Amino acid sequence: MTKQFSGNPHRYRGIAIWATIALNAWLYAAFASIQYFAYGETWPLGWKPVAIVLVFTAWFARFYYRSMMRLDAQYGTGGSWQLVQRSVKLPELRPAMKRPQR
Amino acid sequence: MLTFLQGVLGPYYLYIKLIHLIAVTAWLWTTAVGYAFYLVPVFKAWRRNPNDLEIIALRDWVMERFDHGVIYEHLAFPVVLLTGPLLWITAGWSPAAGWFLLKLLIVISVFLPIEFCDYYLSHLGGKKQLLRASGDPDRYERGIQRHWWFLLITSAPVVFFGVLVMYLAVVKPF
Repeated sequence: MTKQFSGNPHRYRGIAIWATIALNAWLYAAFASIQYFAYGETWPLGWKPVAIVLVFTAWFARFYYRSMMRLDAQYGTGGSWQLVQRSVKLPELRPAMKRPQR
Repeated sequence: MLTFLQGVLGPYYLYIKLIHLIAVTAWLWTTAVGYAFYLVPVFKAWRRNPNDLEIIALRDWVMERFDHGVIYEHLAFPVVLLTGPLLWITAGWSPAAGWFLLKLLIVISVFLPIEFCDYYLSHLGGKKQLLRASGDPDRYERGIQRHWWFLLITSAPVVFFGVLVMYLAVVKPF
């Protein structure tokens, strides 16, 4: 029995939400700060950019969560695939030869 | 120094841009087919049948092939990092341009950390061929599962922010 994979929907939800919030907060704060303090631009501090960031954050968190769930086969049963038994030979790179010690 | 570089490199701006775009395209897309049509279906089969030894054998093989194939992406990425600043210098863009600043922040905050991890997982201590050669099956299995965690976490951001960076560079919306 191989080691069980530690991923599960609860963890994916936490990662999606917190990583999205952290990343977007950082990107917005860094962008707005540099634009304001270095170039005197105040437009990033308006309500429209803030609203766009908030809407994007909500959308991306959901997209991120569903992406992880889909990748990890947490949705559906895989019914469109079948497992076919085959006998195969798999090409693998030879291990690097060790130099003989003198 | 900047003026000197602008003088020397300025006439070659379009050539530097061409190399940059070729490298960005290679970095973004060379793993796409192998990932989507080989690695993901096998890993999904493994997640649905976690104790099937034949699926595990194929999973391990496809992961090692992917470690090998990602070399194109990892050769292109330093070219992107080198030609990007050269374009910055020759074109005279500055972070005052919103599109440029956001693009820089995304590269530094999203892609640099992801690629550092990716280099480790595919070519350095996390390389599956090396882990297999160590003769420790538990260590190998941990390496495979760590890489799967990495792909789960990074796939959506890479796809979304990769396309966003190209959009910002071409359309320059703000």
